[in-house]
Amino acid sequence: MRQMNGMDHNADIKYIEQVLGGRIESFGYLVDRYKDRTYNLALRVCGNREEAEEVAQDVFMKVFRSLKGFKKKSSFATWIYRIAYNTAISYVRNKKKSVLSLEDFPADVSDFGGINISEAEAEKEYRNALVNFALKKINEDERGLITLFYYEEMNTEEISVLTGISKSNVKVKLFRARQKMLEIIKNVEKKKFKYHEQA
Amino acid sequence: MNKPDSHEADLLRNYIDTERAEKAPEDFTSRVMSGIRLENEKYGLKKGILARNIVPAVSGIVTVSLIILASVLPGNSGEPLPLIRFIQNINIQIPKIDLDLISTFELPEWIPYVFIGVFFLGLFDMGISGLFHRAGKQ
Repeated sequence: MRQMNGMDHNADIKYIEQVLGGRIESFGYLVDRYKDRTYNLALRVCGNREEAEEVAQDVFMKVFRSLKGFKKKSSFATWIYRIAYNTAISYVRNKKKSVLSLEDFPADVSDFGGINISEAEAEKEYRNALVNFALKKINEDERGLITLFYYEEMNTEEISVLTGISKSNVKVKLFRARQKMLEIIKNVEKKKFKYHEQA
Repeated sequence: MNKPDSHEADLLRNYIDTERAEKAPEDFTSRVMSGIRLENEKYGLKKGILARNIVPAVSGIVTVSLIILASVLPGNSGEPLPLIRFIQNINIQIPKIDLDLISTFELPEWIPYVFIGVFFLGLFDMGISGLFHRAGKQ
């Protein structure tokens, strides 16, 4: 997990105590500090910005409501990401989503015509679109695990603590999710190759 | 089988750009804080009537206590307590209320000062209550 130092933890605790003491405006500091990572986690799990924003807001409301129950010796970051992970997964689970087919991935996504970017940047954009598409195609649990492992750079032990899934199960689930995503990416690239051959 | 902790031979890593992260919308914090303030007010409404009106409740309790004290404490004439006098005058066989007692009922001299004090304390309470309410909203 991205490292947090003791000073950050102490600052978090200081603001938490202020909020608990009635200065609710101090909660703004905690929101400012964790909003981007919470939003990104929600964005990867939900797949779109509007929903991610809704989920991220919901996360902070939940954090505020249960702030009294937070044990100050534990990491606030881990606590908030646990809430974010569970909220995002539940949100997606409760929302009936249509299943994407390979046809939903635009074949010309690599054509960044009119956009003044280098070939390397275009390739980066394409890969990102590809990964986002593959992420949308796997289930929400797998999406959450992939996000925590790759984007939040957590190891399986940390993921296990955060999600409550055993470490060995995290490994198995990650392996399956990775295989699924690579399969999807491979298929999309095949489709792209055919599209460019025809064009 | 799988070694997710190891980054070697992880093909998916070739596609994932870990540096790519989006920022939360600019007004995100202010929107969350508006929700929090509303939530806080709502939570306030869920509190008991006494907790919500602690200032007037305390004023009321003090006022009632003073009135009770006034009826119990002896006057300046050195006579027994008005309440005790009242009890003594009750005839157990045929309960009889001495109506003269009402006309002879005497309040201690300091009572008017107490009422004036309570009145000003009430005004002061209202003032600080308004001040705290405004500070809580900010």
